[in-house]
Amino acid sequence: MRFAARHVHFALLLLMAGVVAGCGADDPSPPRDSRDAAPATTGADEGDVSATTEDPGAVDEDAPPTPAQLAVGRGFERLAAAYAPVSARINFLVAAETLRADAVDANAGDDIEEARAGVVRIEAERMKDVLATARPKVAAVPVRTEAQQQVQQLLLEAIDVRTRAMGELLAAIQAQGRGLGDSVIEARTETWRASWDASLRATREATTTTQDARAVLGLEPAREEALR
Amino acid sequence: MRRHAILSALALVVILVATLAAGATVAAENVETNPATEPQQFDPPVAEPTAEATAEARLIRRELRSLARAWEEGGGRFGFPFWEKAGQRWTDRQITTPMYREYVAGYRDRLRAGCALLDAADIETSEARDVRSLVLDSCNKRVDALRDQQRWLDELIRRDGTEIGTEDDAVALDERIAERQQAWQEALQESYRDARLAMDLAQRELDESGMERLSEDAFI
Repeated sequence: MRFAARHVHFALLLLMAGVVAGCGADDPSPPRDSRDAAPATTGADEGDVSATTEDPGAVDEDAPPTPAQLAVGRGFERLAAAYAPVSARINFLVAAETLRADAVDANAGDDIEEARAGVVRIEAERMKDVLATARPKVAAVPVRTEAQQQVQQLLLEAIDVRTRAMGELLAAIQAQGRGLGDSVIEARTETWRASWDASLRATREATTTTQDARAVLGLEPAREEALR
Repeated sequence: MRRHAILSALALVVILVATLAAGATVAAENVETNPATEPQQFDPPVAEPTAEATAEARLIRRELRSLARAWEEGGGRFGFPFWEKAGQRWTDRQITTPMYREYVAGYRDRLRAGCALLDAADIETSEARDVRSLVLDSCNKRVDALRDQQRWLDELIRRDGTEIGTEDDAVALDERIAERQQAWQEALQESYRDARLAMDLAQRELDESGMERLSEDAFI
């Protein structure tokens, strides 16, 4: 009896050893973040595609994209469509401002400068309207992947900074029109240029993020000028 | 009794070894996957840039600026925005096809000179050379795109303005129009892509050199 008890004792000790060792070797690592723990389903509009916040992995270049990859691609396209009116309007403003700045540089005369400043004012107001309309549309696009979320954030940032830039541009033109000092005009011009630059940077980064993500999924590149 | 003591001691040793092994495994996994237990990453101490390094950084910036100027003079400022605006107005039927064609030809001619300016820029640093290579590719592809776009518009003008002979002639013309359209659109996308990659690279190089970035519209 005592012999049996000893063996039971020994077996229990070995079992404990096995359990301790097993805990280390086989337990999965704790999730790195919430997306590993709980895949989010946000793609109600994606049909039967199982939507998770993970990008579907890199693919064989020769294989056609899977439905899940195509669905992710459509998410990027929806973001671009929501932002499209801003991209379409940008060169109307740039062309108008180029002509105005050129008239100022060339001392073309008050009449010409005022006429061109008037066109810029109209374009800046239009741009503000377009930005105000696009913002809620971009914000409302459901995003399914980290890359899409990043693109959405960059586009919202671009919209906000560009909206500010429009006010700053109008202030710079006003300073010029009223003949305020060079330092005031220069400071206001620098301010609007800095904001404009920040908005262009955000859209460039959004384009690079979109194209990189699409390439990983084996999708055709998006139109390069879609996000500007 | 003695046998029991030996067995118990043996089991305790096994537990000890197993516990240590398990601990090591968990620790290794944590290092790989748990950011909370990752060793704190410290930025390496930044050495004060030497005078030589600063001069090199300034040279990179100067060279990138000269590329931006060449691009601007070669169509970035007075070509691109007006050409694109004209394209939208043409699409909206606010200007005629021959008028739009003039914008295309004007931008193309200006850009040809721009590509020559880029090519002739005096560049020493490998960083600026890499950027120039991309910008030059973008420039040449855009010239190709504009040439094809002009041919495409020529075909459209021909289709709109003359009697097309047989049905076969009409089909052949439509096919040519479709081919030309595809050609200019593809070349334009490649040009835009290379310009963006050039800007990505230029800004990265300037960040690494600790220099002020270029204007974001430098290579548009």
